[in-house]
Amino acid sequence: MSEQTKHEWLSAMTDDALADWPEGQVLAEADVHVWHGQQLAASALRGEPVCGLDSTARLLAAMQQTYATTAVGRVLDDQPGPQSARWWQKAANDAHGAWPWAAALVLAVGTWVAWPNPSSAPVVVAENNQSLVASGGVLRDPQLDALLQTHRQWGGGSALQFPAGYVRNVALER
Amino acid sequence: MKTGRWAVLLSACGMAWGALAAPANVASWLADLHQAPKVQTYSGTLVINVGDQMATARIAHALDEGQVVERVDVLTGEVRTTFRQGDQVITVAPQAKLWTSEQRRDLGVFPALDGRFQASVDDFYRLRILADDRVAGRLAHVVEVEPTDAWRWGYRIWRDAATGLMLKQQVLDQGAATVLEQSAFTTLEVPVHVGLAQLKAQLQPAAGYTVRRITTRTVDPKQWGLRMNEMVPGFLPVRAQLPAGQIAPAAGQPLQWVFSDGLASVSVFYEPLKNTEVPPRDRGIRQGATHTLLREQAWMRLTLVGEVPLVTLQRMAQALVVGPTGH
Repeated sequence: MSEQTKHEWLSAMTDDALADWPEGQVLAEADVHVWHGQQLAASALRGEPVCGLDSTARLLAAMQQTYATTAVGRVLDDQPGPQSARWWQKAANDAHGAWPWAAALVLAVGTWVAWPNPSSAPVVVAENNQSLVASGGVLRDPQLDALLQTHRQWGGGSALQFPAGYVRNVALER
Repeated sequence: MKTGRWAVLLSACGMAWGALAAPANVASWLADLHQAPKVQTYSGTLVINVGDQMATARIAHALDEGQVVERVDVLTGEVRTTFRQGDQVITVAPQAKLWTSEQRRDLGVFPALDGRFQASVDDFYRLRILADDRVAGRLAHVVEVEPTDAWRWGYRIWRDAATGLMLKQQVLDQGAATVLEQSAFTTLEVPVHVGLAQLKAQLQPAAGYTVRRITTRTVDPKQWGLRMNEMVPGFLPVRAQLPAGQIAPAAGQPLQWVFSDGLASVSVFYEPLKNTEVPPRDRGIRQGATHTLLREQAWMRLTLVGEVPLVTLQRMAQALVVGPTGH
């Protein structure tokens, strides 16, 4: 993989373009460390808590188990029914071994899980009236996001509007 | 005899103190809470935690002949300032050079004040007094507003002992085991001098900014065959609206129908669809105390958003009926 392609896919990973990761393409351990260093700097500039590489590795181990045992797809996948094998499932069987696959998972989850607490991220709580089928995932549907904003702006009518409710809605608007 | 009279006097004092400390009912307590910001000026910094999101904002709150004038500077993410005067809200985005004005009805109007929600709030919530606490260096009286059923969340509210202003608020899940989200002042100054003239001057668009005015119009959902059967107990319709200039709901341009029980609110977004081959599908998403339920089926898409449990949105989605004129 060329350097340019590598950077392009790193960017795609942080934008949740997981399904587009090319089959068979993995990153080396050195690339993971470089990326992790970049995320540390970005988190520090934003004033957010930073993850050590060891805690990222622990999180990765937990995610490995999750991805290995559940058919996790994008929250807004338009193909209902059984999911086709995803790149992370293929990589799990790859002859390169566990570490490159683990590195790819770190890239996928690291940007939106700053704390080892996946349950704090937006969760899919029900799909087709089934019980919880997956946890974690980034809410990236622009239309749903817009409706959430509209509800915050216009869906008032609460005794707790002031001051916390109104300022809360203003602060969360994008 | 003297001992008996002292005993009676002390008992009377105790009863009076108890009467002052214990709220009469939920609705009147909430009305009192709602009134506090209307009679004083203050400034402070508020920290908000919702799910995995954290935001902070600085607020300056003033009064101009009985009307609230307020400035909120969002301190996280994109630089943004919001001004409010009565129900007019102006958002200034310096990076995008965008000045947006909106008329947000119902701001400043506590639902219980119009009587419709008073019974609802008293029927479906009860108050429990907790131990005093300190927030932002100020003594706070703490109250838990407990739901009486599973259709709504609970709340914990810290009120400033000196001014009655809300200092901190938490939204709690069923059984109050988990804090779903919270907002709290880290600094608060009451009273404070706020430069009113300067604040009001900023309500006008600055040179070089794109001006956008957003207005909505109230509509009757029955026009499109929409009605609610067997509503979730306690929830009443507040209003339904479309963007001004939009004649009817359409795909991508939904009608918004807002419901409230006085504390929690739910928006039902209705879009008619032309594609009859959409397979029926439900999807629920949670962030903090807010659930979103997306229901797609032939002829329509419903999106329900509210600070309520998912079962409440599911029940509302089931209760919504679209008559023949909805197609």
